Amino acid sequence: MLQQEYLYVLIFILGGSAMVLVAMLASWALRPSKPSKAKLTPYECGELPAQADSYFQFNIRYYLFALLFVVFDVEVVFFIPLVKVFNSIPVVAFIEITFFTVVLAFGLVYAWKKGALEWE
Amino acid sequence: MEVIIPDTNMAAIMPQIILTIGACVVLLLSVFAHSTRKYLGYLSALTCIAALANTFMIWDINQTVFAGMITINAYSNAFNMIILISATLITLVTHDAVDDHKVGEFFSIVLISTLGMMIMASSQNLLVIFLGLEILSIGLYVLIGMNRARIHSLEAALKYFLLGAFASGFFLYGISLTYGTTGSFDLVKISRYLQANNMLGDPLMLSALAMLLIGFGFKVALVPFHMWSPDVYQGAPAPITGFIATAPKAAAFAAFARVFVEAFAPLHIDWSTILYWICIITMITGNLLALIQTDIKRMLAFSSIAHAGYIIMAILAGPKLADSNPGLSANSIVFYVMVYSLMNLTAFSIIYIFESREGRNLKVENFAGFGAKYPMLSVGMTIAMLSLAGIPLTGGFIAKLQIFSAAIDAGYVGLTIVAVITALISVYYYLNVLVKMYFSEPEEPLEDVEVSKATSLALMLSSAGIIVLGVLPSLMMKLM
Repeated sequence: MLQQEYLYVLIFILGGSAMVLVAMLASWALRPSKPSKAKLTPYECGELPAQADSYFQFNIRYYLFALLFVVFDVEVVFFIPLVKVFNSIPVVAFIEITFFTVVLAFGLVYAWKKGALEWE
Repeated sequence: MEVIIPDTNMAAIMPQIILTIGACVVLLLSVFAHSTRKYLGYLSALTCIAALANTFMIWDINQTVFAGMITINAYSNAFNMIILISATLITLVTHDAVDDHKVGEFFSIVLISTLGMMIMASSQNLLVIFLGLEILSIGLYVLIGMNRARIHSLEAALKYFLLGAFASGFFLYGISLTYGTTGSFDLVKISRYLQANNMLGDPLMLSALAMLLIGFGFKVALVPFHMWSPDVYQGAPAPITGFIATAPKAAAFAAFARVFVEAFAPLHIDWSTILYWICIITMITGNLLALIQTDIKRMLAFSSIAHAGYIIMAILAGPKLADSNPGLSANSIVFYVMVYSLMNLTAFSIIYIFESREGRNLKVENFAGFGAKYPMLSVGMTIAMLSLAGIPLTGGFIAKLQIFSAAIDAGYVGLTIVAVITALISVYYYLNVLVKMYFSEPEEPLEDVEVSKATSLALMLSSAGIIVLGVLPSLMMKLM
């Protein structure tokens, strides 16, 4: 029984690796090859990529955006299960989730008013 | 799909709800209505007082709500009361101390970490205790480092953060091992499991005990997990030091006693030996190192390490007294933490008043001549120091007496002798401050110091509290 469950995991690993391999082989076969310096650097969202010396200054605003992202992230984590069972929850649960959302919204309003969303 | 909503009782967590709303309102007012900024300190104090009043209203409730996540009884309410009193006094003392552009953040973080402490003190579920611990710790990391211009403040914040995160890791590992062994996060169920099954000497359970002991030991600053405390006390702004020294320790001791005395009582033989020795080295190290400190905040840091050692005696005695005198251990812990909070808050608030005038950390010798120049503040400091030393007619005496009698009832005579000897040693460094204040001449003439009405009210209340608890300890006993 237990072995059979691990078999699924094995199939999953093999299937996942196969998909990556097929995709990479297909794109290698199909794409034109024109390498340039910019293309060879690793991609990092909106920033200079990591270098050998990682102690360089980068814009602290990324942290603010990451934190604000967490606000929405947490909200979604709780909303999706809520939507699934929305018809069967009692009023008190609805009030609780509303309170929770309002507290999160306060955080967003505070950050907005403080100018965290502006990029100069 | 059927959803089962656990038994909710909003009335039972009303104090926590009031604090949450208060924190949100303070934060939003600070950005939307700039003119309210100078009143935010008072608003936070009012929020704490409202939550305190509510705690008294739900005092007689004795139930477990939210599917075992929150437990409200006299024990948790007593700790919530201590935490809220500390928070009220701190907000009153600091109401004008924060820069205008940071005032909203400062007070809402104070309220939120108070909320975390209350959650920690009123839960019997290990995960919720951990949640409360994290809420309070993250708030404190920010509060300590709030003064970004001071390098010491930043150093203290970073040190507390790194070591605190490490200790949280130990705590969490302890929780998971406990769960792995007993199959529950609920302290009542854990206790039932441990009574039904003989788990003495079980290696998994022993590791869980050790991990939890390290986690708690860090939070309440027991030797050898105390290294952070002098540096953080010295580096943080004085009123925040007063806050760190009192309310979070009250919360941590509430959870510590709950976990070890209630849930792990059947394993007393396993954990009592190690805690016995930790207790002894904590009392000796704390008091001896306090003797050689020149900085007053460092001295009080080592003194609070020593006081944590005394409180551990009651936790050690708890399971042994469970049959003969069940309330004694918990009552003595509550009383001690209450008095401890009041005297430390008084001392740190007065240090803060002098420090903000001097603009630097104070040494004990800087107190020379204060007795004649600032008579009222010196009286407050005297009461705090006498109580810390455990002189009769102050709360500190009754508190020590109760702890020692609990320890003797449980058969810890040797431990009590060590405690009494170290307490005698401690009298020297507490009285040294008073000697400097009253019998030394200042090197240069002292300037006037201005104390706001709210601060003097807070100081009067806390020093009056120390005396009242020392003269009429029955007032506090009646609550339990």
